[in-house]
Amino acid sequence: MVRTPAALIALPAALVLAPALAAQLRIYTAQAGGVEQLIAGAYDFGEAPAGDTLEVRFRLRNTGSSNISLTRLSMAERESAFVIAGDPTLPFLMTPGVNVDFRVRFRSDLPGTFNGSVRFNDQFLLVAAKANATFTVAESRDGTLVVRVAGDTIDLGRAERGSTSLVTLVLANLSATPVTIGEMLTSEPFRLSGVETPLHLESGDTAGLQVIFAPTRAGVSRGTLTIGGRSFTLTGLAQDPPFPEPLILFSTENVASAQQVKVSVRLAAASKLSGTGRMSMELVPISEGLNTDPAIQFLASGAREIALSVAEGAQSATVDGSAETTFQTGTTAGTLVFTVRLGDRTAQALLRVAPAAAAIDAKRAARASNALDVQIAGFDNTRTVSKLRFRFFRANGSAVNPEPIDAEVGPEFRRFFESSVAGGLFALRAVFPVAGSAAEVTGVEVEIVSGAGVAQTGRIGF
Amino acid sequence: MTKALLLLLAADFLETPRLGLVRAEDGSVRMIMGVAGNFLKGPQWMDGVVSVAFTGRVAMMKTDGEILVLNASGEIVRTEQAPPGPAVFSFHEDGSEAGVHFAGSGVVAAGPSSVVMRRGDELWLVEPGSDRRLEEASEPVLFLPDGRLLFRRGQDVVLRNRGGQEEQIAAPLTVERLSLMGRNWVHAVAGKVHRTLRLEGDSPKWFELPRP
Repeated sequence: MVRTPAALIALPAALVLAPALAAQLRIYTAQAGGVEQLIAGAYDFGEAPAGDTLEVRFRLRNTGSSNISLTRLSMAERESAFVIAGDPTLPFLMTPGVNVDFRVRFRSDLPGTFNGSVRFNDQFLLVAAKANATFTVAESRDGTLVVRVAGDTIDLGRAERGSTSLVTLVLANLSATPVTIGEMLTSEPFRLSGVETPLHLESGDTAGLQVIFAPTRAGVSRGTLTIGGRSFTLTGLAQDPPFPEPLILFSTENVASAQQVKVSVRLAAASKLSGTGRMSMELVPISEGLNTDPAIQFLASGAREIALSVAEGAQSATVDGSAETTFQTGTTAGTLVFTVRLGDRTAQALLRVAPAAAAIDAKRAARASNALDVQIAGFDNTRTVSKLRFRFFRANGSAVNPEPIDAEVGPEFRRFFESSVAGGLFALRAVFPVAGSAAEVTGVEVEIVSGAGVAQTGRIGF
Repeated sequence: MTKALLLLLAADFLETPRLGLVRAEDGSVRMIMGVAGNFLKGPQWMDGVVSVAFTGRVAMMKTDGEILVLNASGEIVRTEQAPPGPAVFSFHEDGSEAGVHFAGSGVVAAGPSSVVMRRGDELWLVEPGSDRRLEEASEPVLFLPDGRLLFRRGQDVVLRNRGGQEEQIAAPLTVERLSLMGRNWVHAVAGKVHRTLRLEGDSPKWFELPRP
């Protein structure tokens, strides 16, 4: 809109206006929708509340038949409530018919009438605007006040779902006349507190109010705050509250190899949210080089990791709906490290599986006409079996051989464990050809010697 | 008179212990390796299986149309045509095969010389010369090669020896399926949980198995 300069614009005596209609370089307003309007020397921006911004898009056009070099496009005054934005890099060659668009913004925090001069090459466009007396909106942040103008974004920061965050605004009447603010509005999840409307502010008065962000679900929230016709954008980021501190509990802390133990995850308080997490277990063996032990696993998942679920209000995590789950301690001495991750929460617990003599789980002795067959299944959690010792007995309890039969089997066991992928498990089978009558032999006792001790089978009957 | 024994260790005298065969819901049959309290899923032996039993000496499987007999190494030694549906296997005390009963026969468990049959809502132990109702018994029912009988009574499992003495074994879950997993090992399924009952030693003991 072109306004008469008479009301607002007093022409600075030093400025000489170029006759716009006769000039080869002409200036227009370029309004939304492509509407242009030629301006003859002056433009009135109109009025706005002090602190608010008025912006107009202008267009220069070379209406002549020869090139023009645009060498200057700026405000003539060093200090001005008007600023130019979006202008091209100068010099700019304008061939006949070419346009150059730019914007001029007006803003004053103080009320009053303001003039300025937009200079383009050797021509001037006088601009004028009025900032009306109104209230000032300032945000109190970290002990300082930051002036907010219409269109500004006020960030309410982060808040946990179900809790609140707030920003304090100060409304100040810095003008010489009283101001009445008719309405203040916002919408969920934002609300206002500490102020009632209409709010009457005498000159110099201030009033405070709180903008509260109370999210009911996680994510980014945006809203609008309107104070006396001036609108501000509100933003806030809602996060789910953290899970309570998890605590890993075992059905027993005194564990050994080849055990099935139950583990549960207790929460320090009732959870404020539902969600999922994971529990993992790792083995730190007593010495490097021990083979993998896949039997160390959660049985419900068949792996060393298992999914956890937490329901809102629950005080423990669940696995497949159960408050506890079973894992195997395996057949390798070392430390089992359990880690629970629930959101940002992490908990760890350790279980030590001590080195032990080889364990015998199953034993069997069979007799053929001229041979004895001894089978033993068990495990060695240190992988250090070095010797087997056999003693055979007759029915009357006397030993068949005056000395036990020893077998130095360290290298064989070492090679077996190195190639095995089953931890310290082993099943051994020893066959004894009999010189004489095998029927006389009624029992056998076996010792398994390892670096951690000696395991004895007791008497195995044939 | 025996004077001396010599030790003969084969080159492969060490191996990973094998416990027995379990069937998953998808019909695959897999070897379970390990020792009590430390179980590992071993290699898959077969798929498409509706019934399986393994004594440690011989495995019997029923697919949709065949009976398969396998040795302890997993080699198929015999196959026979069979009607559709599950089967009940019986074994001799030494673990060798004794017989097969098919669906529709009324037999819910079989030993070498006796069977358990369903009559109405009741289970009857049918032996040569005698029929005996199993009090408060319900399926599943399983004969062990040594003639002992396992069946469900309420939430628990009952182990009945040949003399009729019963031992009540508390079960951690309501057992829905029982099968002979291996020598002294029984496979039990309760929902998604697979368990095994060890019948060796002083008292039967339950363990949880990795889900096959």
